[in-house]
Amino acid sequence: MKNSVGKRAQRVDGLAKVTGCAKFVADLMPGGALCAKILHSPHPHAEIVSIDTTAAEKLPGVKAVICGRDYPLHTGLYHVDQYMFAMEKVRYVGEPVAAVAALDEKTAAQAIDLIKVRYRKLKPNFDPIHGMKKSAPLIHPNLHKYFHVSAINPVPHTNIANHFKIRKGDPDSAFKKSFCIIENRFHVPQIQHVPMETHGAIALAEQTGRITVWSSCQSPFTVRYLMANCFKREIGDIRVIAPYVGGGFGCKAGINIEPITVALALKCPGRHVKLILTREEEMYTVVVRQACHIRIKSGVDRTGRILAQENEYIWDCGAYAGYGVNIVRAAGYSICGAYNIDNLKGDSIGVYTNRPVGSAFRGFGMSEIHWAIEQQMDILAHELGIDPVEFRHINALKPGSHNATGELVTVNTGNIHKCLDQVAADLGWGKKLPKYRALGIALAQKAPAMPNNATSSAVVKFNENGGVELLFSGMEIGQGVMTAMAQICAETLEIPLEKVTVVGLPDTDYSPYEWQTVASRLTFSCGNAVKKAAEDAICQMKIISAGIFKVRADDVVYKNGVFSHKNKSIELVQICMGYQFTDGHTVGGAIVGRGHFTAEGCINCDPDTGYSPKPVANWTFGAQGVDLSVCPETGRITIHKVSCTYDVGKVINPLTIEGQAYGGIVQGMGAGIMEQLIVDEQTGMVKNPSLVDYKIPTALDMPEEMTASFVETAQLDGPFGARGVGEHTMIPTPAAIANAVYHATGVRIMDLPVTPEKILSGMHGLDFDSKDSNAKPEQPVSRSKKKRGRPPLYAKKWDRVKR
Amino acid sequence: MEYLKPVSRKELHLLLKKKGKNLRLLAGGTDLLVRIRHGKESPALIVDLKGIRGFDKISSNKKFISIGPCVTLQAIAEHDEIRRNFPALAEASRSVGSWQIRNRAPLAGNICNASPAADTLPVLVLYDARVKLSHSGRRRILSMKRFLTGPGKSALRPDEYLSEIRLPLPGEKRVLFEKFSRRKGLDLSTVSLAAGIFGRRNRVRLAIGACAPIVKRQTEAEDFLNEHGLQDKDLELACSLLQLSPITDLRGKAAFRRHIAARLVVATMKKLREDR
Ligand SMILES: Cc1cc2nc3c(=O)[nH]c(=O)nc-3n(C[C@H](O)[C@H](O)[C@H](O)COP(=O)(O)OP(=O)(O)OC[C@H]3O[C@@H](n4cnc5c(N)ncnc54)[C@H](O)[C@@H]3O)c2cc1C
Repeated sequence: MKNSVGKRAQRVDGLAKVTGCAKFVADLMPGGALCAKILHSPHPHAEIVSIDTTAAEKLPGVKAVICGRDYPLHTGLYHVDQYMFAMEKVRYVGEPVAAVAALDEKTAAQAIDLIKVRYRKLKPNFDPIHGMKKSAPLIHPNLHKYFHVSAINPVPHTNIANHFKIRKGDPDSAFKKSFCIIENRFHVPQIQHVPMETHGAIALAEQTGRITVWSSCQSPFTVRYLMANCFKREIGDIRVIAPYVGGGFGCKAGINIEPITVALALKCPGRHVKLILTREEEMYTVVVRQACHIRIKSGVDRTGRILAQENEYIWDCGAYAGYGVNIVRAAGYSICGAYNIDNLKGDSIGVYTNRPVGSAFRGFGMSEIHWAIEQQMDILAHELGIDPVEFRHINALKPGSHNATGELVTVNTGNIHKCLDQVAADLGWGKKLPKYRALGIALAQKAPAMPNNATSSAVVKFNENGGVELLFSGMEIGQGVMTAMAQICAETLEIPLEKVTVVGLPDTDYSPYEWQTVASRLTFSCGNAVKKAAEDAICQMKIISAGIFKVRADDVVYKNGVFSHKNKSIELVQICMGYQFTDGHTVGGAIVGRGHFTAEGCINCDPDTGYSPKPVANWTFGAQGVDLSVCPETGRITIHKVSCTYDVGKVINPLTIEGQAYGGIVQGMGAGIMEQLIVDEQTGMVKNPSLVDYKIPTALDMPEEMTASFVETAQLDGPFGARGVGEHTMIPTPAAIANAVYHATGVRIMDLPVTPEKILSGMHGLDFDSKDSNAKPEQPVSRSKKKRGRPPLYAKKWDRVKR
Repeated sequence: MEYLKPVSRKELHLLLKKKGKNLRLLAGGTDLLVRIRHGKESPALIVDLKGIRGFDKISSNKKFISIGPCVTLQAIAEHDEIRRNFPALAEASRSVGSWQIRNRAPLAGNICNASPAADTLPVLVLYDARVKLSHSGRRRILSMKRFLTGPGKSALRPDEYLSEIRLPLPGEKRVLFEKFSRRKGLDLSTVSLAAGIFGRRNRVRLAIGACAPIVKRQTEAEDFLNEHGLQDKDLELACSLLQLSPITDLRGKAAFRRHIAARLVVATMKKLREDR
């Protein structure tokens, strides 16, 4: 019965979630659990002179008070740069300095107030560009001593946590040959993930030495591994259980608050210690998306071909970069987006500052760099008088071209041109629109940013009725992985979907290994493991059937739940628990299939040139277009329609992939027009650490219409040809909006988000910062009259050399 | 913190008389509880108004529509008579917060909280609404102008409570409410505005919210428009007469607020002049 893959199957986790049966960490109420609270640093950069916990310890009801000296232990994934609690100094406002466990929340909060910390303030730095200079304060003086994985290149005795270089072709001479050179700067602020469920964890340390953690996390096995490293334990001493997760978007990747709960639990053996972050804590004390300062310089010929380009990304990693360094790397090997550029100089540089910690966020750097790349493409197209869609067709990757690292693009890589045409058609590209209404388009590319050895595994175990329990450890964080895995399993086993029971909430004691739920990698990687596990089960049963049929296993045919050879056949249900002959004797037994998958042939990039024939497992390409209008009086944007098309190889479930597309569009729209974490550069405090002043879109803010369609250029090593798309859907949205706003108003906004204030100041030359509202427009908003061939007004602001 | 929920006016009056100074009245609680949670207030006693019979009623006579202190914003947004006579009040009520907030929060809470950004205030000011402040044995009826005394401040005395909101009949249909906020749903106003054309003499009335410590009528601009008319150039000139003293906060910079207020005045008056 091969009809599961491609079916609009209802979500496997749907009923549990709408009925409230699904339990999240905060719902778990172990008897006698202690309540944990964290003391956060009030300073962005300061030496810790002393910590006095005596008063807190004396408060009745307090069971443990801990700080750095109790646990001088490091955590970090790619780059181990962070103590569990700040030790010699604090590096951002909100950094954990100490923690308490008490009988109830009130007592815990009181105890936190009783901890006395003396600080000696140090000069903070909030600007990564300044941070690269010699004169900047060193935020991590011991950078050269930190452990990091081999693909990361920190620069000792600087603030640079990672520097990824692309050196391809000969940009200098190609720039000389260019007809026109355009250089622009862009900026992306820090934003927050705003998962519905904040971070939460419960830890239990037993007298036997066993440690159990219930965590709202994207990666239970990575949590276990990093925890074992951190606490110097055997991996087997630690058990991580992951209940349902109420949204991650990257903030629950890697390890977060878990070590703090464990550290407290170790002081109170036998008692559960529960820590649930408040929304305010969630906003800035854990992780946020990195900010980025971008410079792109492009040289084009008269026909619109890009001859040379320099892409410089200076990432504001925040105070720690244990995860962020890999975003710097991902932006490095993807440096110029989905374009074919022979002469490239790319620098992706991660710099420590005293802002909140930057980490993984849906898109993993791609949404940030595409904000600039896709506007630059529009600017170039405009400059040359070429239609933006046409310009992209001229320059986008196609079979035969080599991407930034020198990897060859083939017919199987994915078809960006088809995506572009589909979106243009869906939006009615070229149609006549009223004044102040326009279309904008942007492309996207992304690869799973994971270590080359990231691996997935799955187990398929049969029950008496010929159904299976499917075990894997990819986390259901809303993306629909449970449903997709069930479909892949049912399709491979050729059994009805209802016969697959998904056991999708991992417990590291019982569940098969999964590296992490990140990088849009589960459908591809975990999906392959599930498929292989199912195939392994069939293979085992073929061998048993072959014994019964007295033929070779290769001669047994399996189809729709029946093993057969010529006219002999056995049903799956007769064999999956052992086959019993009529006289009672039995062969075989309970079938358990296992499978694993690791992407093959991925090679680390050369540290000097970025070269790699295969830097990543695969690429997913797509395009997105926006139809919007701008109110010329108030600068308000109305989004009429957003259309997107992605080449996903194979749609496993149309229902859930559409959900991913629409969700991504809306999250991208939030980043595009309203989201921004504002740090006070005097105090280092986040000024909008609540949903009152950090706005994300509501139902009323949705685009009036959204469409999603998919191209299916099979990924040769993907399950049924599939590749990932979970993050991609939010990558092009902000740039597509900015391009549409430009076409509607002539205002180019290079500093995310695109707000009414910036639009108005660009349109009418208003400066809202000064008392006198007729002053000059503020940077970096520039205005242009739409004229073809003639140098536009913005050329004054944008370094532009014509040869 | 003590919590009491009287079931009659008499009990309420008694409580106010005895403990007026140390108590806080609670209607929907959507302002008060937020303030308590943020540590801005910690009243010794909270007195819930929702248990008192009749407080959630809307009634009317020939002279006015009367709104009880526990009538929710959602109830107002959906009330036929209010929608017929005071459509902009229904509109402004509907713009507050979310379904959850509107189902919870009464109009009286929005008024008593006296925030410069309270969305119903510009409309109430325009409609010349009156509030009845009661106290055991005594009561007084105030105009909005006399009631609102500063940001978060009102003429309410510690032993008084708002017992009724009166909207004088006949109402006026030609009134528009506009709200400019950072997003379309669940947001406080960066600028709000109520503008209308009243009565047989077609008098212009205008009030702007979130741009000054107190929401009040823009009398200079009104007088100018009433004298000169509503031509485009008059509207632009009237904007220069607006009495605004906005602050810069996370919702918008002062200069931006001024600009938006002016553009909303022009856009709204243009819509209204079609009806004149
Ligand atoms: C998420 C959220 C969104 C919001 N959005 C908006 C918005 O868009 N626009 C807007 O204007 N407001 C908004 N608010 C603020 C608030 O909801 C409104 O001001 C609401 O009308 C307050 O009414 P309440 O009864 O819930 O307030 P309460 O907290 O019960 O009362 C507010 C104040 O008035 C006093 N009070 C209440 N009733 C009386 C009475 N009868 N006599 C004397 N004193 C009294 C209380 O003691 C308190 O000081 C929002 C609030 C939240 C939490």
